[in-house]
Amino acid sequence: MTIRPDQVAKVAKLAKLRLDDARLERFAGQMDDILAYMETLGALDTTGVEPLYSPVGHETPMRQDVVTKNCAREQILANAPATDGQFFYRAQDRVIAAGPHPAPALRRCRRPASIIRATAERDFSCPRSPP
Amino acid sequence: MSEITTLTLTQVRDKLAHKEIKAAEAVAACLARIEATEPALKALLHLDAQAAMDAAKALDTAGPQAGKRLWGVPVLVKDAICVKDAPTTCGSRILENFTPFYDASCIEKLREAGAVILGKANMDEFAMGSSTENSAYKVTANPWDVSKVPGGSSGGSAAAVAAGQCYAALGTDTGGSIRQPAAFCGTVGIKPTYGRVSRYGLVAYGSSLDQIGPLARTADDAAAILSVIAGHDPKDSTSAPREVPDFEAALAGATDLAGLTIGLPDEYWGEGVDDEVRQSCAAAVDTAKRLGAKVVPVSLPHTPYAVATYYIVAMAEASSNLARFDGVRYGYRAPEAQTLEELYELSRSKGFGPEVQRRIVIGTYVLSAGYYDAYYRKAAQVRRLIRQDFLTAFEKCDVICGPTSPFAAFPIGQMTDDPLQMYLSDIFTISLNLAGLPGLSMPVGLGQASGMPIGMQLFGPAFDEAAILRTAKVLGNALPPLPQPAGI
Repeated sequence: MTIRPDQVAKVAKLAKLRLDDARLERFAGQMDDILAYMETLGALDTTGVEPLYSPVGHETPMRQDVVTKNCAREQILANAPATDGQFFYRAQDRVIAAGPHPAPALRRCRRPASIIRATAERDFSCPRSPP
Repeated sequence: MSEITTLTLTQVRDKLAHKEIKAAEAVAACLARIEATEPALKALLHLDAQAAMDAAKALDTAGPQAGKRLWGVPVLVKDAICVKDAPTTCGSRILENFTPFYDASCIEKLREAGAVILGKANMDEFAMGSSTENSAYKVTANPWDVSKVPGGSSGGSAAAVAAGQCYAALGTDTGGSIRQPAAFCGTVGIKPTYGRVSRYGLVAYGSSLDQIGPLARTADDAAAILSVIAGHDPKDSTSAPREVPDFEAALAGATDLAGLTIGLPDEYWGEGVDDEVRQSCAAAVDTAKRLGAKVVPVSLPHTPYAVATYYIVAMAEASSNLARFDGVRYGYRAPEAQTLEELYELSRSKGFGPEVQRRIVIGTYVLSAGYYDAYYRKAAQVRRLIRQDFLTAFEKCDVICGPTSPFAAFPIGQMTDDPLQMYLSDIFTISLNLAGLPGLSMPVGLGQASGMPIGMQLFGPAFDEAAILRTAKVLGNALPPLPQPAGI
């Protein structure tokens, strides 16, 4: 197989990375070698073998669905690159150019703060720690 | 090096507990050692001398407490682990000013036990690397020869312990990142069973592979740290609901290896291992036999597929885990971004280094439609076969033994142009993370050709860290001790 730089660019786009031509070229060559090496797994007969995605031996533990407050808004916003004190960024800090995507609609569905319509008085729970 | 900093952790802990030295003295000695060695070693990304001294003085005022198993002991923490109010960069520019507002669970436990956290140790960016050359900030040197790498990705942790900057350091191991730098720097390093130590507060690289563990100068020291940081944590759903044995008690009084059967896998003792590595490891096995251990051959037949399996799984998981770094809530945000798409792309592309970008791209590729079954699902199937190899081998032996790395520490810059060659050097450490079993590396001497430390691994059955720690303690005591590192 020969991976082409334009294929790398497509995958990079999926991963929200923007690589310059030199890097696309270099990655394409390296990916060729690495993926060819990974393909040696193809020679192994794994018929009927159940995939093992995690070595965890126990059932996923359950708990009561109750909110446990463990952090304050100021803490969560403390590391934000930009904030208006309530949310992660202010509209006036960003100039939304007329691009291929309808900016206002995209903003609404992607803005993290829209998930949490908190008022100034109410603190909200931290996102659950992912496994 | 001051006398205090050449002590082992258990020795200094004893002196602290008996008030022969104060916590402030132990911390001051480590800080002096850090000041003397850091210009050449470059092991640290963050040092808070004032906070450490304040913590030590507070401990001295309150006095030693029997229940605090690490009272007054200065330690360092790999920069992938969240320490409250200290920067956690993961060796990356994308988290350059990130300051967590909480402690990882293992850090809470260290503090409760009375340990003093000196600062954060250097690492390969997002734990991706085997030499610490992928850090976006600096390349840590090996204290035995500063022209050589300390190993990675926990290179800062390993170098700091070997150089006497601290008595123990926390590292993380996803494909060997505790064990290989421990080997390269002549220390003990243990990766616990998956689920033994909580990952809450660890910035995730490969969620089904990552474990936090200690690097220290002896097996007793490693056992002391592990006893404190291990244990079930409701905040980590993969944390095992299991009692933690008292590892130190399990090691107490152990003087021989009678009754122990050690398995030597054919695949770890064959071709591709440097002569000096084989010599040192074979000599250690002979010592184990003299101590009463029985040695049997075993086989881990899927070893040749381990590197490919690991990198598919790890890169896939990494591509998913690193999606959260998007310039929105924390970390670097590209100021010139106009659209939301640009915000994501430019922040990530400018914030992540090349190795991280490479792994994200490959991980995305192997998970993409049309390739998922051929790569990721296939690798998961082979992963089960690799785990089964170990379970079968453990029917014939109590612990499995082999070299940690095919070679000792290599010169800085030697492997950076060929990523695949770097990946292949993980051949002996990688299978353990896929299987989720515990393993450690212990120093077994200095290589005859290079004069650099040689490490040997011991693997154990799930949750049997006691067996490998005990074996490492007895064997370590019987082998000639390493001198102090000559390079700094």
